[in-house]
Amino acid sequence: MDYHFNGEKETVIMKKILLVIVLTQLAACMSFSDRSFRSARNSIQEQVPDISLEKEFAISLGNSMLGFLDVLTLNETDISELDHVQLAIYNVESDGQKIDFNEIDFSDTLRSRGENLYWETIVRVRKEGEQVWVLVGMDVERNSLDAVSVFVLENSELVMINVDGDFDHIIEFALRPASDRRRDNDAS
Amino acid sequence: MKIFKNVLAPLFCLSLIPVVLAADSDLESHLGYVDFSTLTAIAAIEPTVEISLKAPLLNMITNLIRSEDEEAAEFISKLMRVTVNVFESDDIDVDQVAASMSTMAEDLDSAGWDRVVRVREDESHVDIYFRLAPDADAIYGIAIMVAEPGETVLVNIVGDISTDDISALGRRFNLDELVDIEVADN
Repeated sequence: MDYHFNGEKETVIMKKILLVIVLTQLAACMSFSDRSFRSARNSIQEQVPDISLEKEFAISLGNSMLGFLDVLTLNETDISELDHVQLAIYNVESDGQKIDFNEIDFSDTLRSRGENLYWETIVRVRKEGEQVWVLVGMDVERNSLDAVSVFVLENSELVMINVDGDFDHIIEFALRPASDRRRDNDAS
Repeated sequence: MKIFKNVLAPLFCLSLIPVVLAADSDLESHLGYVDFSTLTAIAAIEPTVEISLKAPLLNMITNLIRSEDEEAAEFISKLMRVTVNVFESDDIDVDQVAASMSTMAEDLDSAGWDRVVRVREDESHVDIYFRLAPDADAIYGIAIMVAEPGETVLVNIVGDISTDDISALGRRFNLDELVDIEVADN
């Protein structure tokens, strides 16, 4: 009986140790620093000198964490092939000066993400109080799509999103036949 | 290293300029290209939504998905430019845009474009045109113009798209309307 009790206790301890190891591993692949955005932030501040960007929130997910999330979402979008997903939210402080994305050279802003990347803006959205720019980074020599960056400015909040890695599966997901989804909906 | 940064890198960038300009000039002389500048000038505002997919990106998407989806890859590989411009504003004079659209539609008619859809309903104006190859086995361009109160939409797809590619894509995405293009062709 005593042995049985000890066995249970050992199992609980082992579970706790395993949980700590897993959480430590995952935490190592996750950070709340905006270090990866500092170069872009500085570039925007240089180009629009009358504003300052104060970090509100930042998160950076590495490959292991994305793999873990991929398992949690039952491989729905297959994000395990991505290297990084980074997000930062900045509060725009200015004396009435507004950021106009048209006046920002985003190629310069994103230069720190690789000298070999050629950036192209594929989507621009301009609405009252909102601007959204989506850029893709291409390595023309390797003929590969290596990065996607999204900039969203809504009132006094600037959101920057960086995604790096293998976009093969993401594009495949985006192009998945509408019929599949329709059939899924019909079935449910 | 400093020499590379200061001399070779700018030289490399400069060397790309003629290539980029040549690519744009090739596109503008393509039979499927439509210059919407008169319509955008009337709108007099920047597009609310602007989507621009150019050849390098389309080529990369083609390469990425070729192993997984040959039909979609084949279709995308034939595209040279996809442009979508949406103007949302109540200040846009829809009658003026519609009048200019009619003039542009006449120009497309006389340039050999085929009108596929024309809607003139109250204040709603829609024109959809296809530019077909002489033997109708390929589509060089698609032009879509929509003018409604508060919204103007301009779309131009440029490429050398075969009807087989479109019908294959229709089968792939279960769009009967596109599959029928092959039936009509046969």
